[in-house]
Amino acid sequence: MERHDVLRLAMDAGEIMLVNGGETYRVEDTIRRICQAGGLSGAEAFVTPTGIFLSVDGAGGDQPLSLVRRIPQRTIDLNKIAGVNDFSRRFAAGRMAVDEGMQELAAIRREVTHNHGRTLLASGVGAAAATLLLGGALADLFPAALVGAVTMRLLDRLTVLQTTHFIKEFAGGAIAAVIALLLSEAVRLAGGQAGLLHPDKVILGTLYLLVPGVTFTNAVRDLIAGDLVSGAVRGLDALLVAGALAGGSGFVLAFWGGGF
Amino acid sequence: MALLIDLILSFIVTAAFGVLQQLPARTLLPAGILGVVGRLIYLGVNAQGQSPVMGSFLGAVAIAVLAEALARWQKMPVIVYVVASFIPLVPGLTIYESMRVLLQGEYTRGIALATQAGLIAVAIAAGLAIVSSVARFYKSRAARGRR
Repeated sequence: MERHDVLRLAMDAGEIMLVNGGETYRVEDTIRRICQAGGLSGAEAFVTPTGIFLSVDGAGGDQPLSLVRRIPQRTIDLNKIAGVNDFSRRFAAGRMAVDEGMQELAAIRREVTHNHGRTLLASGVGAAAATLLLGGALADLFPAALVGAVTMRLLDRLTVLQTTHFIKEFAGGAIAAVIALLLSEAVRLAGGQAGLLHPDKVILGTLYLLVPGVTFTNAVRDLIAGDLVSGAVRGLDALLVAGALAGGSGFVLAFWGGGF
Repeated sequence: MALLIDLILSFIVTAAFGVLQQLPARTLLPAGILGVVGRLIYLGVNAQGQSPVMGSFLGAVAIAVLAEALARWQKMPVIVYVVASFIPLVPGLTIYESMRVLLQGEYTRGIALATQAGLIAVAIAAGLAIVSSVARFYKSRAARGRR
């Protein structure tokens, strides 16, 4: 009974980390640490980006236990990783009951770090700053903020696409390209001088926000830690996402023709 | 002046990217500063006439070293600081250019640009990896020493 609960607590902690973009070795380390603190001997965790396999020895007449959990979807929330990291340290250090631990994990799961308003603001400001950084003109500032915010908002709302994130990134590239090109067309039709708006720089500024940063860093860190399977899978994932981003915008640009 | 504006923009890009990846609030400022440091080193190395690959590598090394130090100081996972900070080093313009000329049928130039972008990505990864593995080595030695 008690052993099952500890095992489930460790699994839950690991799952929160992995789902939100934690590195493989960190998830394994956290699970092992919690199991040890909970009095389970011989805990072994095998973690890949798509699933966690966990088992403990059957020392002293106890039955060996094991638990497998599939991870069908992943998002990114680094605050939750930091939260579970901190939790596992405290659980390992002090006398915390398993129930109490479960409640803490539930609280970490519910926690919202940056709400919709703040992420929307970050999308706009970030896209505008990235556009200027890449050599956009001052006239690109507001269009870029608009394209960045609208693209991120649309992707957020298109929950149908969340399941296969390759399609999501492809759509992100395409949406950013369409809006940027439409805006530049509108400026031209309104009698603005040609070349006032740089749709290419605006598209790039927005795509910067979709760069698979967490996946890329995790791939590197997993590979150094010796998790070759996870590292290779994540590297491939990052490559696919980058390809999808470029493909989505390239697809639109190729059809648009002249403006490109 | 142009440099100052560039660095301010790097800070904003890093912090905004950090918000989108849900970095804990108290790490946004340090992460933004790391983004600026990485960019500054990248630009400095480029100004010496070195290739952008070298600049990206050294920028990534600097980011990773400072991230390891910050992680120990603020008791946070290292990944929190690294994830956003290298974004100003990403060769977005090169990737875009390579895609554009490839679509126009200029295969030789397109492949050359794509290769350069790929090398920069590898340089960033190598910069992060080298520092990270050295840090792990010292960490495991320290752990053994304590026992």
